Amino acid sequence: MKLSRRGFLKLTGTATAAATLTSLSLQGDSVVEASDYPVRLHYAEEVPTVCTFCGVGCGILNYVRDGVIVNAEGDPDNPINEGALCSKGSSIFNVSYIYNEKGKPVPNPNRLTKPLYRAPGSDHWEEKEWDWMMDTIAERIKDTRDRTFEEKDSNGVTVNRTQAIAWLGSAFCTNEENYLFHKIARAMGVINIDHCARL
Amino acid sequence: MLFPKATRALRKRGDETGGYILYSVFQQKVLDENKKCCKLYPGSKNLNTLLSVFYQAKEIFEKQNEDIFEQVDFKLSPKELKEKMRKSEILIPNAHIEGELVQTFLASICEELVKNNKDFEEPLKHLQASVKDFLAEKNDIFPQSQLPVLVEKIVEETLLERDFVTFLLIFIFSSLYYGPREDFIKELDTSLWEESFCPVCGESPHYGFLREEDGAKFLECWLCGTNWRYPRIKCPYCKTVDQKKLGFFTVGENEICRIYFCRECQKYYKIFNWKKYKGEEILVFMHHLHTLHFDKLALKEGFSPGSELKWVDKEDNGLVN
Repeated sequence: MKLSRRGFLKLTGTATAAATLTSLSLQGDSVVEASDYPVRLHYAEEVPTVCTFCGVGCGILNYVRDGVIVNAEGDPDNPINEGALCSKGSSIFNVSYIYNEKGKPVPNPNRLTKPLYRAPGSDHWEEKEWDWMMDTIAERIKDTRDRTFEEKDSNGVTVNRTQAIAWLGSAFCTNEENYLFHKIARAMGVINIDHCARL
Repeated sequence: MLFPKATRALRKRGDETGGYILYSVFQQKVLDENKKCCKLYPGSKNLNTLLSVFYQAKEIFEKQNEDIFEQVDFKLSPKELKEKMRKSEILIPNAHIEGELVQTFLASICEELVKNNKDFEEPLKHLQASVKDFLAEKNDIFPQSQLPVLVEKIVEETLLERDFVTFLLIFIFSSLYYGPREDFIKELDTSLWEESFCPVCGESPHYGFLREEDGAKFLECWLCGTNWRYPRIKCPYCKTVDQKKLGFFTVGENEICRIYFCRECQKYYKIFNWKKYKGEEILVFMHHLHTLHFDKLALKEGFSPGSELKWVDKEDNGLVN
């Protein structure tokens, strides 16, 4: 162990000097150690997301503690809402909770956190990776489209369409996402396009 | 600025400019804020006497040296200022004060402290001697960049606590250097500034706040009091935007002060959430002084201050380092 100059000064310091130590300090005497002061640290992370309640697509900052969403507020850095949220958006974190028999909110055990897949004819869901899901969806859409694509109808009129696929937009997606859905559906020749809210 | 004539640090939250208020009014506001902070942060120390003594010393010194506190004209047009903000150029890159001035001001403060308590005489004499030695080594010039170095030297050589020494030196530097330049600083529009360091003096921030209206994060300079907006999910020190590496903790039931940290660079800074604190004007620096025990907890949790200015020691083991 090395005795520092400061340590030496303290060792040889007088009682007066020792008294000054606490007087010339900005901290309280017992700020951290005091038994009556609850030193419990609450860790949290800020996770940005997009509100799913309507097509505006407001930015939200979720506060996540131990993997559980404990609060949410508007994302001030999101240019769409600049920190503001409507009443539904403000309470969006409640979506991840259910109420137990005592009426207390607990994290919803049925909340989906991973992609689930149910194979044709199967009676159960299985977890899959996002990559697998995206590839499979793309392959099946392309396969269906290629098999059923009509360049001309029975009258010889050019139609370039498939009637085997229908595409449903969502009010939970943003306006921009729904715009893109529409574009991709049209590009593939899908003519059965609808939206649940029809905003 | 910590204790300026004008109210750079006392601006309404998030405003880019501030207005003048009378010196005495400002002093009263500081003391009022101190009182409020004592209630907000359990375990913090009432700094009323210390602040009053510092004010008293400054007032006396200012009367004797009026010319030093005269406003300095920077002669930069709004267009040039805007350009500097856009190019991320620090406005005052090499700030320094004459050593003699520092020593006179320090002597004035020490004199007032001793008047208040005779016990301070001996340690403050050591402090002044330590500063004198340091300035002699630096050719009687006190550059801003040497502020943390001088803190370390004094803490090592005297029995004074680190927080007090840091506060004292910041008070001296900001009063003598940035006080006279406040007219210029308060006109500065920081909305174009995207860097993590202070646009005026270039220091790394130690604390900031979340604006009450929308929760936007502002960092505030501990030396010149300038504040500027910074993204919520971005480390001001290593610039990581990986949300999994960023986080914060609060202490006990206190929801105002948050310690934000980055697991990438292991640095921390303090953010005061004004959504949880009502008041027309807020002196952020006061809240910082009253939450130094939070800094200690951050050190104990394994983080170090991103500002490189260590306000407190992890644990004062007293004799052996």
